[in-house]
Amino acid sequence: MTSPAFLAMREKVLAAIEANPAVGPGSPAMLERMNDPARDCGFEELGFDSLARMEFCIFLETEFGITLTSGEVETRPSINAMAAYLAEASAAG
Amino acid sequence: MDSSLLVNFRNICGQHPERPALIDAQGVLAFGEYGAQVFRLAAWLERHGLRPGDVVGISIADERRHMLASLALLRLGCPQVNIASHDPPSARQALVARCGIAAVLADEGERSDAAPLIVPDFEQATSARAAGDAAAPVPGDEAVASLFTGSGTTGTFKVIPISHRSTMLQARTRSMVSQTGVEYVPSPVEFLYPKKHRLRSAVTGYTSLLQAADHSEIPEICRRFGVSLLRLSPAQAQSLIEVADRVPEGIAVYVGGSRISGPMRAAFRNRQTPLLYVEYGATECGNIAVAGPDTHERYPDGVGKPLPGVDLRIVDDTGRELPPDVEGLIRIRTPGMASGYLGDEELTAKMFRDGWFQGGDRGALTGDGVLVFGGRADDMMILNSINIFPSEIEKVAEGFPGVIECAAFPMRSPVHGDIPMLAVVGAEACDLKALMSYCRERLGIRAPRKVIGLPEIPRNAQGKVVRRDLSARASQGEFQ
Repeated sequence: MTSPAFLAMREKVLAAIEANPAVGPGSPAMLERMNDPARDCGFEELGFDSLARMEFCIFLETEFGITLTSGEVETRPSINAMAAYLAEASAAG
Repeated sequence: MDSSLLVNFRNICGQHPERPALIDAQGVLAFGEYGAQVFRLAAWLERHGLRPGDVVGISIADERRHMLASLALLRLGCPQVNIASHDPPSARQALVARCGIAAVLADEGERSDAAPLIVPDFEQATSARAAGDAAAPVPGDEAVASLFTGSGTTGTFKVIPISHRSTMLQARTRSMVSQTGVEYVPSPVEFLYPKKHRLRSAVTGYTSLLQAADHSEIPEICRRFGVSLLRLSPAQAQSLIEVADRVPEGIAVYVGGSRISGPMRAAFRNRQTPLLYVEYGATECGNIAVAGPDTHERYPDGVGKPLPGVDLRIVDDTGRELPPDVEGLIRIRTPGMASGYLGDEELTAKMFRDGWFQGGDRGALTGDGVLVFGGRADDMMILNSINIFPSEIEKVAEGFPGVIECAAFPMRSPVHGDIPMLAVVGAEACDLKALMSYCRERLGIRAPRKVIGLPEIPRNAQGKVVRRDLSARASQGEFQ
């Protein structure tokens, strides 16, 4: 799970979390975990609710042209799960 | 005063033969000679086959010749359509087909599109040796004078027939600072806004200054020709703010087309002249309201009280009238209102209801009768079932330091509907990231999701923000 495509998508997911107006800033320990691809971090732990999921999707769409539904976020509820999903979708074209 | 356009024009020419009608590089053409040349040209056009009712395109960039041709066609009773020489051939051909154009009047060297060309010999046709007037009877009040085109909500252009009567009434309804004077609309006659005003001036005895100019030259030109009234597009007004030279004191500056932002108004008043008037109007209705300095002081988003003769109501979706200060759909009845669109019954039924024009603008009337513009009903964005009006976002963003002008628009999303975005023309110090937070704090979920700095806001010839363009660019990924 450290392919360049995965890591690139992970960066995008992190950016979408950082910019999310419906999610508060994480603690230093949380940020450390988020930034380590070897570890994972669940969206629920980050305080994601339905509004945060919507904002997450909107950010990915406006910044990177990635269309995503809130439902897809609910079913890939962590940074790594989401990054893997997006990398796979991107490879499938 | 007679409502007949031609009788009126003839009377002015007869009563004020020495008054300047047109001022251009060739000099002054007084009303007496202007009228004589118009009627001689009408006779020439008649000899060359034009008959009352023939729809005629005008593709003449020269200002004086264009106006002579335009008035001669009014005299003959030929509905006229501007076919701008700068338009691409496909657009010109579409106009010819859509309006049923029988012939196109063109200047020498013009190309032919889908209609026969008539190239008048202006020298000969207007010379004193030519016949004095056409033989055709003067057209009636209900004859179509012009076919104006405008952007349609459906993506195709709409064609608005304006009768002789409406042309005259719209000319009288427009707000003027004085009965006579020199009007300067620095845009070319081939555009709708300057064309309408040049015609209105001709039939109300106002002098038109025809002079192409860089925006930096406008103040000097106003001084040189004693301009009393300057009409600008929002973009021209914006450019003039940056010009060090000022327009002479006492000139009234009218800006039409759309709501002008508060900071832009303030900058214009500060840098140019306090006598700034913002007009609210529609091609279908003519001028509707005008807001001067006093109105803006009390109601920053006010577009003024309806002009005399204009009946204006605010209604809900069912047509029920709403009380003061409640925003709804604007309904208008003006003396010179059009009655529909050419060849588009569906759009006509949608916009013209029970004798009212309801074009999709939203607004509220204050207790003392000032119209406060609320945006376009059909510009409304829907983000996951949340209704968002661009004006709501723009109003907030305009309050942020460094924002000179801005336009909110949707990025169309297959998932979320309309994702609101904001295009900003900002001063160098304008911090776009901070602006986004600022909007989020004030608008919450209705805030723009992205703020983009642009050198200018795209507008159409009428000065309206072309949100569709911005949306298309967003969809193409230009703002990612």
